[in-house]
Amino acid sequence: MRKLFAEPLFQFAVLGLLLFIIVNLLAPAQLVTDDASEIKIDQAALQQYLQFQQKTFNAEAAARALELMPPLDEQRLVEDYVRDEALYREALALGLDDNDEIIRRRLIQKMEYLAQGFYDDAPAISEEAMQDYFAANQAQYEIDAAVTFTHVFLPGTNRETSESEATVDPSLQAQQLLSQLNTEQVPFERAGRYGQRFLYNQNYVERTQQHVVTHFGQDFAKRLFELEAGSVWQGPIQSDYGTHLVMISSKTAARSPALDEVAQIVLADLQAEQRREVKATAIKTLVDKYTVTDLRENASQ
Amino acid sequence: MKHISKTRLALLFVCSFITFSSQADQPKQLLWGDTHLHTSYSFDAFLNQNQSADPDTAYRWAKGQPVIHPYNRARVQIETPLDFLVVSDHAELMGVIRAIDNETAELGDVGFFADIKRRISTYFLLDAIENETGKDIFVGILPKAPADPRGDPVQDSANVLPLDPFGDTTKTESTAWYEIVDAADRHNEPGKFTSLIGWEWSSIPTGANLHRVVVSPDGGEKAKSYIPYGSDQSQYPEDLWNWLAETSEQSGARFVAIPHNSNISKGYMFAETTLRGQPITSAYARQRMLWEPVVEMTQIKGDSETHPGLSPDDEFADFETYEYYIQQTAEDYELRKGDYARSGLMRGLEIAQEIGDNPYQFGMIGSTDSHTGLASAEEYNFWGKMAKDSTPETKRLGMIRDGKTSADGWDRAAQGLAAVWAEENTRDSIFAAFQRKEVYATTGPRIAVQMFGGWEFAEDDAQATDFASTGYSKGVPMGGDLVAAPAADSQPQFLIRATKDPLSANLDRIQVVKGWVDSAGKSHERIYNVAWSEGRELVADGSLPAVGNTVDLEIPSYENSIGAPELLALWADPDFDASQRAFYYARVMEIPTPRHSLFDAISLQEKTRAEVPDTIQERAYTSPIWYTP
Repeated sequence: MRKLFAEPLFQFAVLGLLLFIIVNLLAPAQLVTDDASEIKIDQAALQQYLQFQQKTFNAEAAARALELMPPLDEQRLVEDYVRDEALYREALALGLDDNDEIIRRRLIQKMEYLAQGFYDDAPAISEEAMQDYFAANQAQYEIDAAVTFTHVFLPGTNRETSESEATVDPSLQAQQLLSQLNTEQVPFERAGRYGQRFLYNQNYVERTQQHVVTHFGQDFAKRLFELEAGSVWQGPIQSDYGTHLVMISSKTAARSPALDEVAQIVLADLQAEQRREVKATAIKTLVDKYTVTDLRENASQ
Repeated sequence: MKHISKTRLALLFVCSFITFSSQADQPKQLLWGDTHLHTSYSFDAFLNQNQSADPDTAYRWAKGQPVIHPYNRARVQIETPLDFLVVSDHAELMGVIRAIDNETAELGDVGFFADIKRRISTYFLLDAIENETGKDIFVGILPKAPADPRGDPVQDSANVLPLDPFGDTTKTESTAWYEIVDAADRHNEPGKFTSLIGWEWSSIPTGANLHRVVVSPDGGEKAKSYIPYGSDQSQYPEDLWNWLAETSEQSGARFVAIPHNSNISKGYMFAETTLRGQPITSAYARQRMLWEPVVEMTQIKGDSETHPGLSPDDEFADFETYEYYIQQTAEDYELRKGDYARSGLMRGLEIAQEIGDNPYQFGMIGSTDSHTGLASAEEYNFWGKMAKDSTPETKRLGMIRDGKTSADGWDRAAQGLAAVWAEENTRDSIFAAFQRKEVYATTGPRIAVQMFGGWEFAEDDAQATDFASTGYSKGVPMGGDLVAAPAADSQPQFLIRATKDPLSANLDRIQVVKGWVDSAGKSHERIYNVAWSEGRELVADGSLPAVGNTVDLEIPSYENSIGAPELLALWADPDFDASQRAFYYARVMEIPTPRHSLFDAISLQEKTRAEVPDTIQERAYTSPIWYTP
């Protein structure tokens, strides 16, 4: 008898029996389908199936829908479920899941999702961490300078009249108009009465240098942002289209916001970065378990 | 509408029947076009029976030539040719379904098993196209309803991009892009007809429509240096703008992006936050305004000016309201403030008040978004949204036959057009008008509208023969900004002239729609009737009796015995507060005319459905003029 207990085969059989009993007692019904040709149907399986069919995932609504379902529809649902399950098992038995690019992609996607899931266990972001991140990426949160201005436009002379025809020196003309505007103290809202109509707008409100560039060109925008605000006419400034006299009614300088102002965005950015890091680390741990052998001829060692 | 006492109503209105014969002083000309048109190169157009109307057909139609309809094969023709057109096919699978069907697709190597799968997909696809069941495939790749209707729809668990069974289609797409670009360059005739190169970025995470049409004024050489950016690259508009900035830097090409169908964006188009749910910053607002000066707010899939639920006091708010999301699964329409242009403009003021920058300071246009290659916006000459809904019988077959999501051709509208005030009919000139927002929308008829805002207009300026020159020298045109109130008691004035479409109905009235934000940061709206056809008086509450209805429902036809061919107004805001940010836009109403569905119903000798109106009041919406303290 003692000899029998020492027999590995016997030990193995006993362990197997124990395992069988445990699994049968504790595991849910679906797992212990002892017969591969038996399809078991229960409420939970149908609920899940229904959600996939309707492509909306709300367990409560599915349970309700199932409860209210007319018997005929329910019968059809069961038939569909059985049909799908049978086809699925047959496909597995035939090994159709091997070498299938869509299934492979889907599994990779699931693993990536799992890897991302580790982030939920990551420690909460501290205020220090946010301050450090904000300090390191301050440039990203900078608020650009902006101006509010109007302008009087004198088109470029060399476009329609040849130089010999141009009797008045354009820069002289601009200078004369500038002093006229300032002597007569022409206000902001009367700018449109002088000069010619410009291709784009008359007034510009709280516009950045980048925006002004798209309407006037680089050089104009650069010069404009060097000027100060005030109720005087300034210029002339050359644009891609001609000469402009400008009145800048207000100007806000570029500034770096305090962390408080942009806290929500900084937090979201930091979280996104951490999520990426956690995911990358998790995937790297998995990849590191493998030895990569490069069989290409010119592969470096 | 709130009560306005008559004494405070400093309303200087003029209405007259003078027809302006002289356009000599007109510094700019009015050009008409469609910036949003799909051809057989769009996957959904092809799957819905447009297999023959290519970009070339689209241009020939726009220029006024007769063409063959892609579904019913009839000879069709536009009544009045367009001045410009943007062929804007979907970037995603651009030209791919068409190429697979005519066996010119160049598809990348995908390996043995995927290749079998691709062959099977192709087989089913071609079979469906042949049996006219392509729309079932189309419905099958539409997005699904979100798991979390308030979250970031891009990150939603239900936001699964349809797996692409065709492998790498870049080569086919680039061939299609070159063909589209070449067609545009071939048809561009400066001074006569303008083609602008463009495409559609079709982001629609979990059915929230965030689509943008991208338009460039540059020629084929620059356009061929890039491949259109699609929503398969990113569904976030910020990523589209970044791509536009980089591509512009690299290729020198200029762009604007034009959002459309905010009405079915599930509140995300003009939202309080960014799509990721982050607060809107100055940087976001400025980046958005750099690329998106204009919104397409009226088209076949409904009118997005406002909704009766948002503007209960607006008697004309319920116009071509369209409440059907583009998705597979049923979801009831839920009205949100981010869905409509007016509430978007108002929200823009609220945000500007808070952060100093307005992310929603946009001008407005209309376009068709037709997928037939035919830019048709005329009620009596409307050729459908998809090629298949071009006949009275097929127009009533719903696209999605799943209970509430179903909409058919009668639920859709025969509209709209983009009107542009430009120096000349060229790519550069039209593009500049878009950038300065001197553009406006109509729901189809070519109602001519000019609007100027200023502080010092004289009473007779509205009647002046040099109306436009006066407007430009004393004020700013639509799309512009008013800044300084010259005196504490100044009121902004608006000089507006509207003329009827020579081939369409008379005008009922001009209204000014004002939106403003109070010191508590809350926005408000009010509508003022500022000019109308004679025979009516304003009621004490500021409202105006209806113009009447001359439509003969049997023929159908209407008579221009009511309304006016032209309306003029010089109006000053009686409720102006110089400390509050505000916008003003004009809405010009036509008298009632028959809707496209009525023509169908009569030809079928049936009645229209109760919820489909027989007559409509077509209209024009100008781009706003903004006031900033």
